[in-house]
Amino acid sequence: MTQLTRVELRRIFSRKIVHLSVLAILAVALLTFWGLWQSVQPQSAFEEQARQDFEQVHEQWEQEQEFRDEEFIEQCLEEQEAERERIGDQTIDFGCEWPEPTLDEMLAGYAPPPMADLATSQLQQTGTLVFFLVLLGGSTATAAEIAHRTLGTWLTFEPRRDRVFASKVLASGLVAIPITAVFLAIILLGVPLLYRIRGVDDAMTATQWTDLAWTSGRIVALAVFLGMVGAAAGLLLKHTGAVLGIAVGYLLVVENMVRGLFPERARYLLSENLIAWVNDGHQIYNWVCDDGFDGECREVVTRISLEHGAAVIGLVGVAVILLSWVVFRRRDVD
Amino acid sequence: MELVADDGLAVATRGLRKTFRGIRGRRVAIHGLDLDVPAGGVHGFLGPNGSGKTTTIRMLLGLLRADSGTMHIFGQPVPQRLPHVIARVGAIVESPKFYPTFTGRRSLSLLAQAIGTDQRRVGEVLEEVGLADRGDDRFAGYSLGMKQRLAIAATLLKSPDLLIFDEPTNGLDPAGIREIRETMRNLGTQGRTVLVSSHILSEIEQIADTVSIIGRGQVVAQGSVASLINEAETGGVDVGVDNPEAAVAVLRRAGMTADLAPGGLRVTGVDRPADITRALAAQGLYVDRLLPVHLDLESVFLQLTQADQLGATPPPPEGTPTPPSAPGGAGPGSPGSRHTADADEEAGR
Repeated sequence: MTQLTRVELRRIFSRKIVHLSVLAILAVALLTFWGLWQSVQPQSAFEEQARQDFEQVHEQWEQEQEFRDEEFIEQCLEEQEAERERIGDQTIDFGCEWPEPTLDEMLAGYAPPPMADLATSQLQQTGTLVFFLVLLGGSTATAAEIAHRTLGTWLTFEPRRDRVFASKVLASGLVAIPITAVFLAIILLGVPLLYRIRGVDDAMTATQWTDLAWTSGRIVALAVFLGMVGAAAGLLLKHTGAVLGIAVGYLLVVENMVRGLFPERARYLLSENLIAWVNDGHQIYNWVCDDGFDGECREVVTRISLEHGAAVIGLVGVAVILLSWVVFRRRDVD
Repeated sequence: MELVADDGLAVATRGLRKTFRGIRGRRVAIHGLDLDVPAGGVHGFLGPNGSGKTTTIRMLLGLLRADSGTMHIFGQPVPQRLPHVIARVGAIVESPKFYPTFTGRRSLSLLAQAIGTDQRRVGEVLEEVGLADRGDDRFAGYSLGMKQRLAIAATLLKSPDLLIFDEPTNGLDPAGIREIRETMRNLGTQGRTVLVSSHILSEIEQIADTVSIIGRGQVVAQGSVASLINEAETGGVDVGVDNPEAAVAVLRRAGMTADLAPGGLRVTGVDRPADITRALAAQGLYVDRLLPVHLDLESVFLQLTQADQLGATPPPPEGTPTPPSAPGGAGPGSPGSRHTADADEEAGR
């Protein structure tokens, strides 16, 4: 079993799609950091930008003063008051008075995003790409064997199908570890490095690092699991296209239908539970309206815990793996 | 290395049946197949396209599930005990199948690792099949002959006692065919059992010691090549005579099977050609030519399979040709017996 898994790992790492997946992650990371390079600017650059913006705004303010005399302001305030009374809303503001902008105000509006927030959001956002790639990689690792009809050759060397199935599914999961590690290393090492290179003074506390470590751990675990589910799905459906088609069809059709028709069931949607797992909990915001056009609408917040996310994703994934295993044991192989 | 099983058979099947179910309904591919492959030598597994050769091989290798019946390889029931006997079996089913982007060497290396064979063996088998200098080329760039040789190299990784080749010369040029033929012959003479399925009978006739002929999922004949041909030749005689029509009538009245044939008539079902001349002479018809019909394996094959395709299961010929005898005597698995599926079903097997 261990031997077979080793062979499977060798086989998978020899495949071009794995190399391409790593390249895809590097390419996406490059693009991501290009965007981050723009938003994480050094203080001097912020101040320079703020000065330029201040000069523009101040120039505009000066131009406005030519016609914004007392009479204009008085009339504007009267109209504002009339509108407030008519609507019954005292918060309406016509912007009749425009105090002179100051440089301090402009500088206060500029600040680089906190490093911890940026790292966390990047992990959560680009983690989706990793999940997609490992699911794709897992499914193509097994479906390609069926497409190339090499599975038959393999089974003439190792006919114990349970072992073959387990080794292929396990190896597809294990392959996700280094791929995900590359992605995590890029984010977790790249963000602090970016701040340093850009001369932005920020650092993460031990607690923040711990949180990031837990998030990373959950991402790795989910990537391994999705790799295994992908491999099982590939064996079950025989085609990578079928696996992706069902996955995309589910996300576009089933999830949107459930959100529209049964919003209270959204807590069971895979994408919501996946987010809950990665983010250590998740909230879904829905507008629920009473019957009829005049019915009142109210926002309903549904909270999904980490455990709930794990349970839903785990149950569905295990079901796919078990079904695939049962079918693989009995299936005729070309 | 144990080459001969207790019953002297490398492969034996009894009452094997396989039905494929599809959108267009059910199709019985194998219908009560009783196959005996003696251990040692080359055994030709013959049958027209679609007769069930590949399906049988796939079932033996555990790739397809049989609906019913039993299969044994070296006395071990398969697929139940296949994992225990697979190390002694090398197989190429239809065309060789490896990852197109992997090199030949890598493909073999992975297989060797899977079965715990020393990686040095990879180089050796590549050398054996003449692919040592192309081992690092991608499989997709190989010619059909090279692919076939790589597949043979893969089977040799195990040093198997039984080699199963399914249509190994399909798509090969004459040189490639000759090469594969010699390889199989050599493997057979080394004491291994080579089971080779084919519909190219001239190939099989040159290399096979024994053959099984199947049609419509049943064995219609099996035994040594020579005995099959001799059996088919018994009583087959071409006769030259002045008045063939009259001669046919005379011979039929005498209880012989006679039909008009180019240049005269052909008589079958006679033990002694002298009976023909005697019967004709008695009616004033004198024979000017009397030639025993020499059949080749192809003729035998066509006789048997065409009869089968016409819906008539050929009766078991008397003095049935048999595979080489084995210890254990007669019985359901013995090489000395010849069965049809119907006979097995009647016997309640």
